[in-house]
Amino acid sequence: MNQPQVNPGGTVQKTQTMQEIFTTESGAVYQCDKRNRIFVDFAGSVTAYKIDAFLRLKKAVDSIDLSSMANNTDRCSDYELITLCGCDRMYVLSLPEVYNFKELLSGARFVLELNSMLHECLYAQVA
Amino acid sequence: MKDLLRLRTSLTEEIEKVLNEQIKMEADASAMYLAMSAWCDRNGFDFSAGYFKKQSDEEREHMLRLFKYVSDMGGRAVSPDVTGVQIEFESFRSVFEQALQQEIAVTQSFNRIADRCQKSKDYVTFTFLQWFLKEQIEEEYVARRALELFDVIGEEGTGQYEIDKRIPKITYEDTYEG
Ligand SMILES: [Fe+2]
Ligand SMILES: [Fe+2]
Repeated sequence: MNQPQVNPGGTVQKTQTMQEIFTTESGAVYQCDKRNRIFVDFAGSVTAYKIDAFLRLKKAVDSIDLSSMANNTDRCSDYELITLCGCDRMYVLSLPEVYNFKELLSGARFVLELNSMLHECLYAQVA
Repeated sequence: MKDLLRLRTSLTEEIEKVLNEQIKMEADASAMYLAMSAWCDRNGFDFSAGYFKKQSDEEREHMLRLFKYVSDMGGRAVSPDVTGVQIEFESFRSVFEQALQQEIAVTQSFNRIADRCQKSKDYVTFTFLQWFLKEQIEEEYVARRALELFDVIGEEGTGQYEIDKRIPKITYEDTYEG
């Protein structure tokens, strides 16, 4: 059920209910209104998240300390492992990738918030 | 485009976070009161031990009340981890001093949450908080009265025994006559 709709090329199959909400050079985030899912296209694959899981993913990525990753000379700190409870997808990201991921997710989060505000305003207009 | 954030829960992330912090605070308070109960028990303050046990149960009820609200609103209620609970206390009196300080801290915390609710115009949660704000009047009153017994009765002679005996009799009257 959490499987994303992907074509062999690994890109999101655009459907009418799916809308791009944020894109950067390194990835894209879409929202599917038919299934109430957020699709994250990053690091070569597309993953579908429920909104709750998406927020947890963002929190997990935000909690990564970039400067300690940069300053630590240990081999193991060259890459960051991101796993999310209840999700099969696992990310193994280098420092610049983590940076890009942060940017992508926070941009998408902002658009979700903006959409929320728009909804509130529109409903207020109707009432 | 659907508003997925709002469909999930009517709580903002910020309010959900502060409510979860309060859930933890109530859990900590419950554990602290239980520790106080144990200390009183092993030092011969039988009535106070019973009083603190009851307080501990009440704090857990507070925690569950908050917990249910967050869950009911579609939020993610977090069962908190409670660690490093105090075991020893300086003296009989200091137990009650600490109890009052804890209640004051809780009142202040609820005030801050109410303030956050107003700022983010979350009047649903603001209304839910009213029960707690009112409850804190009683909680502080009882804790303050208990501490005052130490001055009124005095700890000399059989003083501590008398104080202990009076502790469970403290009640808060929510009337003008009381
Ligand atoms: Fe409480
Ligand atoms: Fe209390």
